[in-house]
Amino acid sequence: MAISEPPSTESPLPSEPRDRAGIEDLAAPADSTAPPDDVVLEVQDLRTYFFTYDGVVKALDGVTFKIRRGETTGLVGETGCGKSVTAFSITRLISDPPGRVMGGRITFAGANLLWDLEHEARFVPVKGTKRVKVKRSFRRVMAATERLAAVRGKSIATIFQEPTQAMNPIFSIADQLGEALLLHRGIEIFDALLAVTPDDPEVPAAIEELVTTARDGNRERLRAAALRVGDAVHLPSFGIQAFYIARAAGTDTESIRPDIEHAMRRLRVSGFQKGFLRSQRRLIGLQDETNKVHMDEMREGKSMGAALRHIRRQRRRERTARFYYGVRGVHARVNRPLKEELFWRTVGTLEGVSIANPVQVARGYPHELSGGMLQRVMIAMALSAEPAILLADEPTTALDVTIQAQILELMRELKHRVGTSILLITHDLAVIAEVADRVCVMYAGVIVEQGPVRDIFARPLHPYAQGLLASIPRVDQPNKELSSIPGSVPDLIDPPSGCRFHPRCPYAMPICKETRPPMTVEGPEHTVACYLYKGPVASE
Amino acid sequence: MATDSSTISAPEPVRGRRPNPRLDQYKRTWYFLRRNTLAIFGLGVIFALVLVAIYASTTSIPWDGMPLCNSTNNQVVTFQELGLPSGTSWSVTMDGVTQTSTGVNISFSEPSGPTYLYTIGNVSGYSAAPSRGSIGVGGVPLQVSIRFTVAPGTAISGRLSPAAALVLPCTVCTYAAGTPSPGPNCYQTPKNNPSVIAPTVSLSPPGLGPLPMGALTLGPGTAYFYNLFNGLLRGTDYSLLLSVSIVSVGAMLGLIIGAISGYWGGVVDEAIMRLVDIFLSIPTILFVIIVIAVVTTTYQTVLGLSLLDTRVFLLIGGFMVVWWPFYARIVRSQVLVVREQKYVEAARASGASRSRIVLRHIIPNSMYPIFIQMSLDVGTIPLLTGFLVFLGFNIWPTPYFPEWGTISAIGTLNVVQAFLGACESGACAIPWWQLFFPGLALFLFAISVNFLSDGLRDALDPRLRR
Amino acid sequence: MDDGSAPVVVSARNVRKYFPIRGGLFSTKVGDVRAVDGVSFDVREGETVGLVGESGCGKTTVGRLLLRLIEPSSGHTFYRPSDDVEHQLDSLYARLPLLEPETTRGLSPDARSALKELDELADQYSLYRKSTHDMRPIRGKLQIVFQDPFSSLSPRMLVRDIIAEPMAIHHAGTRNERYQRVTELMREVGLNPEHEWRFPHEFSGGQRQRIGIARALALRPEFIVLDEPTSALDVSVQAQILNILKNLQKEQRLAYLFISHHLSVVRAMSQRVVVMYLGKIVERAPTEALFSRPLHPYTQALLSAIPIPDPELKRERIVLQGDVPSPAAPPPGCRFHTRCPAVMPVCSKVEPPLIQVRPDHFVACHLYPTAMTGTPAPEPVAASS
Repeated sequence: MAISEPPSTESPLPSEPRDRAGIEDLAAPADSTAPPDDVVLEVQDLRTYFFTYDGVVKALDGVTFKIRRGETTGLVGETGCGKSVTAFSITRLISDPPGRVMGGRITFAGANLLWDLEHEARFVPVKGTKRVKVKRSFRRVMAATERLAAVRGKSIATIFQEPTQAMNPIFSIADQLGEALLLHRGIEIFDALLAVTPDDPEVPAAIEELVTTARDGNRERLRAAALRVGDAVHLPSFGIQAFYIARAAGTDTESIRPDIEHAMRRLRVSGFQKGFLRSQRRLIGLQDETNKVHMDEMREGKSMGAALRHIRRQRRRERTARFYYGVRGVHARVNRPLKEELFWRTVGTLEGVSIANPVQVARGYPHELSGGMLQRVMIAMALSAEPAILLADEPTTALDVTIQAQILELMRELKHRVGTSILLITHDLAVIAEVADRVCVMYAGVIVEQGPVRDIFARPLHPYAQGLLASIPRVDQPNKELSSIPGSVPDLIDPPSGCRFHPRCPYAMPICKETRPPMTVEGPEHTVACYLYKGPVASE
Repeated sequence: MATDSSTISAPEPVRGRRPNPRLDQYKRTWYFLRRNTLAIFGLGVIFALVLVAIYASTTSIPWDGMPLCNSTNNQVVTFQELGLPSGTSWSVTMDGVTQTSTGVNISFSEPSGPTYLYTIGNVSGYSAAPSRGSIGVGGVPLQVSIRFTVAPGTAISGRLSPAAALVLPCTVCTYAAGTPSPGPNCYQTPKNNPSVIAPTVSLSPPGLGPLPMGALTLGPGTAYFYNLFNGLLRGTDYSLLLSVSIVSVGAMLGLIIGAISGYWGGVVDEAIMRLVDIFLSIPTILFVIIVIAVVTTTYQTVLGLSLLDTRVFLLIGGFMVVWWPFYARIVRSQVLVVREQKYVEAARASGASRSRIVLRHIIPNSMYPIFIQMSLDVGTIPLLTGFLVFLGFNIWPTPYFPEWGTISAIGTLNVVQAFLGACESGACAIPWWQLFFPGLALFLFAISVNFLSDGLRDALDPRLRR
Repeated sequence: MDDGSAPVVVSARNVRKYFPIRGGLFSTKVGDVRAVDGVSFDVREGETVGLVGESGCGKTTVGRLLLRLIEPSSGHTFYRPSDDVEHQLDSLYARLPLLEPETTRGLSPDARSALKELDELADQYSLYRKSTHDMRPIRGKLQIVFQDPFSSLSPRMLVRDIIAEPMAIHHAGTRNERYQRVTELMREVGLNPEHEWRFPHEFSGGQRQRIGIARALALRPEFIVLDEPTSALDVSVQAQILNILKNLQKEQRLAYLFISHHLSVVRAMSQRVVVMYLGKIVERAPTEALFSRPLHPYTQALLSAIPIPDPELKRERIVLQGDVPSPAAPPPGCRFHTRCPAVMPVCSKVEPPLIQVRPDHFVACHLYPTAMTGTPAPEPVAASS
């Protein structure tokens, strides 16, 4: 690692027990199959093309980089350079006509996410035009999509650019966040619900303590007391609920006890409901097994149809058995404990992203929230799954400056607390300077320079990076001449031969037109692809 | 002052002549349309229908009701000899009757009905081909040519030279060319059920019989049968013309009114939308009938023509009056979106007048949604006109006009009546073809327009194009 | 108002725009969104005034009001007022301590006569009182370039028609002359004139923005409102566009109103800056003064929130809590007091007037209660309602 601080091994990971709702408790992603060194995701020679009427757009043409644990890697470049395409290629979210991941290797948790890529499509060039016809094998493409569903959301989460459009407007925030929680941490939730102890002897004492503390008005102590109630019941989300009940009561402390008693009804799960919960837990367990099988497929490079079919059969059986509890468990009484549990966990998650009035927000709908709040909710949703990697696609571009500052602050904080690796995609170099540890500069589908953030800003090597830094107006440097890079971004259907930047480069040499420069090492962890530099070629 | 040269991503143009960007767009649209099989199918069918319509309107296709052939109508069967020198007598025997003649033709008048056997009498020195055969005597006068060839080995004495033999057929030819053959005057009686005539398709030799789609009767028990195939052919151009004219005028009206309503907003918008609501709440057919009824009671002559002649135009006019509200609504909702676009604001900033903005900016950008509605309506209009006839509200010059809607209305009636009544009296023949073929024609028409418009919409949509 | 040698091109005085909120059974008015609530400033020939603020502060509305693309609820904008008129206006406004839009009750006779004189002046010179016919020649002089290069060009028109349209609307020149000028304009903004036969969607974002600028230049304007012209563009393209704009300004003595929320860009382009928050001006100063010594807490927070592309720089960040309040229900007193790190009890009761605190540097904040000596009376401001 190039920067002075070592990675998050030294960052204060919470050592509290894991059974707390909310993000505070998220430990570092415990991926037991991670390789011994700290590389979480490795992308090698990724190529993605788009097949359009005008020809083949070579959006990504050999992109190689690594993401390390706990590190924030920034992917910077202008419109059309392929940075969003890179992120979506990793999780194969590229819309399949017209785009297609052509080749490369993406190693994640020991698995190659692009396994079996060659068999998915054949390419037939059309004579007389620049078009290429793509013949896809529907079956294999569908299989690939299913395989990657094992990874998407759970291990590699994404947050998108326009938070106001990324959420479904007809469901409340609690519903959507709850759905994410259920999907990703369902087993934990069901186990907690089944292990709840409302009649534990400690409970009345804890409630008494809560009432006493409520009279004080001291919020920290109130919270601690409420959490103790939750501990007594062995359900941390109940602690959060107790806290809000107490806070809402205000000075009327007499009403706290009956309110909490009332709330405890949801903990008293009848046998029938328990059966339903167990059935749902089994289903989610089966889903997890399917995901594991998919990961094994990609790891070992062979298809495991038999195992998948077996799991599918079990799922079918379980689903049929579930009819006993009502169609899809929609019957309110059966489902209520789950819904309420999810609601209060959602509230806890929202607290974790510093939202001021989480109960109101959770009950509300996306259109009632501003962009900044919605982006926080998105971050909460993404992190609720404890992913190993967070892909952030221009998370602050659509936000105001002060809100952007808040979100960046939040991301820095979460970085330290949670230790997820972040791939931050943006065109704003200033944001990179604030948050990132490493930077990859992209131009026209290739990475032209990579390195630690300080090195790149202090000593940009590639002429494009230099031009980019010189053209940013800076608040703290008023009289800076705004130099611009002459020309414009090249056409990716017929990209320039050799180095793609050579038509605009002030230092272009004859060799630049002929072959693409390899990545050479010019400093500790600092590589650049330019013929101006004669360092040793970077090994993969 | 130019700062930098700029390269665009579009393909390179320019060799002195201005490139026509609209041509590129058309090529591109055609490329995407080509790839859509259903759209090409639709295009093909519509093209074929247009050809049929042109053919039908230029040539005269008979549409006359003809009775079944029974003993009261006879048909003429003419046997014509070729190859015999004039004056030679020859004979034909048919149905037990022998006729001899020295002329070229021998005619029989036979009651139409079953098939008859005939044999040709021997003529020495010649062999006849065919020398025997069977013909079915039905609605068409028949002509059979018998060719006599010189039997090998016979001496030709006192005969005309072979050259003369070549001349003779020509005189025959002129005779044959001179007289037009009389048209059919009855349909051959079907064997199973004398009251309906099913589609006649022959398997050997394969081909369509005289009634490839069966006959249309105007009510069971009538004596007159119409050729359904001819009817559908003739109806093609009426249906196409009707649909196209009504839909296009309705759409244009709707476009203009919707654009004005959407852009002006306020009271104008409210007023027009309430009008649209009124129009939409009245069933279309009823409305058309009311409009036509009002006009016909107020005016006895329209433009100097009597009402009977102008019924069709009244119908078309009535439909146009009634059809635009659907489009106005659709266009208005699109206009509400386009109105907020920045380029409209920019035009206002430049001081453009309202009408200019509506014409040049709003309307071209709001047109797309109506195409879908247009394609749906095109298939509906022939059905509606047929329904009007069904109700007895006849708009065509004659009661049994060859037009798809009319035919399908009649056919439906017959089928329903047959279903309800005729099945008890033994022979249960539900004339399914009377419903099926007109329905098939309408279906083909509507669905090919649908496919085509779907394909066009996909090809024109910039987002789906990449 | 301010000392400056160049003549004033546009002068906005106490412009307000309230959008009615309709609710209830018959869509009766239940309140107002006070998008712009008493904004005054002017723009001189050849200078760029930057207008900054976050979304919802009303800066876009101000831009459109100055061009009379929307009608104001009250206030006036003057086009090329002579110095005499300017002085008259200054003195008239000084005699009006309060200026509520509708009421003349409770005003002293002096104030009432001042109001009458103001009315007469406005009839003569105010943009909003001119008829459509009189506005026509002025419209060509006041133009706007929009933020979104994708939606500001009609997708079904050829580029040459888009640029020629303003000329066609005003019947300027013959058709040939117009298209010749189109070629000229395209060269001026750095586009290849051969590309005029294309549709907008075939161009990149930066090129589309250039087309927008060419369109704005068609009628030889004197004042251009640039509404976030580079926010949708990449950094290097932004630099190109800004350079073009600067060059055009130098050549043609154009006046710009540069609306943006990117303070770094505003700093590079403008000579004076106006900071808005929730419809009101909170600070107005020359660029240098504003950036080196921001007085209003909001400006300070704004400046500290800007990310700087320098990882080594560690600085004190003022991170504001909470979200921007809704303009339909602005907080009483000073509108910023709910988020202000330096809030005092008086801030929630009384609205601070815009006072000149340093030469040419105006602030509306209770932290600076006294005006610089020798300045005229404070800007009229509505009582908190």
